[in-house]
Amino acid sequence: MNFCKGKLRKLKQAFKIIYRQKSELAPTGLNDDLQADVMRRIRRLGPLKSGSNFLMLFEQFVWRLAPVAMTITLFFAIVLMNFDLIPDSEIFQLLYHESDDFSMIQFLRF
Amino acid sequence: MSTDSNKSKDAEIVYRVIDGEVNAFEYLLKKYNAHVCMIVKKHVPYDQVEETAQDVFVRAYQSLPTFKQKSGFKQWLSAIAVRTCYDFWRKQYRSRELPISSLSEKHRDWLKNVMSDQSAELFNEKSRQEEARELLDWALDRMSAEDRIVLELMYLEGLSGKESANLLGWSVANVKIRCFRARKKLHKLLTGLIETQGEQTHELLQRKAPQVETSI
Repeated sequence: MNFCKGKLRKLKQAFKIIYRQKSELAPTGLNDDLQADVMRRIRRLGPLKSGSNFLMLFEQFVWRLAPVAMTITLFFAIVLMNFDLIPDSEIFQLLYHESDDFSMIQFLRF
Repeated sequence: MSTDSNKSKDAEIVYRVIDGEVNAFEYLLKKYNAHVCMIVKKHVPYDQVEETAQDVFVRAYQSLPTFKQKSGFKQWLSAIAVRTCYDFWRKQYRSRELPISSLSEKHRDWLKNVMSDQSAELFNEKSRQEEARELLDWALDRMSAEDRIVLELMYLEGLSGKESANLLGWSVANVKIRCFRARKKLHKLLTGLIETQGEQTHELLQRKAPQVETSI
């Protein structure tokens, strides 16, 4: 059974009313005791400056470094792409077919 | 003008708290107590409202150094409240502490009635509203925390994609896609519910049919 648009609109409307009513039933705010409890928890955490400043500095530092890190990564990627890398399979084939001219030690010295 | 002075007063308090005057936070707590509770009670179960609201204020206090005056403290606190509610559901889904409600024939009937023309009168009945609430909770319980919060903000509260994105700290596109998928999921759940009832009735009729024949 598929719901047509009109039915879905009706359902949405009904759910919206229920949702609004749901929030009317709950408490309207924290009472004095609970507010005091929050302040107690906050006082236990202590002043913000010392601990959070380091975090803020770290955050700023990380984001400022991000473009630099990306540039370095790109640079190394280009260097690696232009680097003459010899695949392992090629070395193995060379060793296998021309073992008289090359020894394993010579390859390890590369 | 008054909103501007309000904003600057809030900002002044925030700077005082950051400077180490912890007790100044009490002003913000008292001022926005009702506002935070109003947000929280829309998203979490009744018995969890007070605890979650307390968590919102503690989290706001810890995040004060990241507060930027651009949008105003109220808006910033609202975003923290919504994200705390979202985290509440994420934790709940991970531990599955809340029991998943089950539905009866009454709920299925409500769903059918609400879509028929006679729904208006039936919906106003108190008992019917209770069933509707249970049905909504049943459907929301079966969604992920992300789908649930997006559905509540956009589908049920009627916030725009941009407003929801600002509250959740997600991109507008992400919020819209999430809402679209969540809405589809909700409709699928409800369609399944009606189909199950149809099948059950059909099975019951088939089981009863031979008995009727033999009795004749």
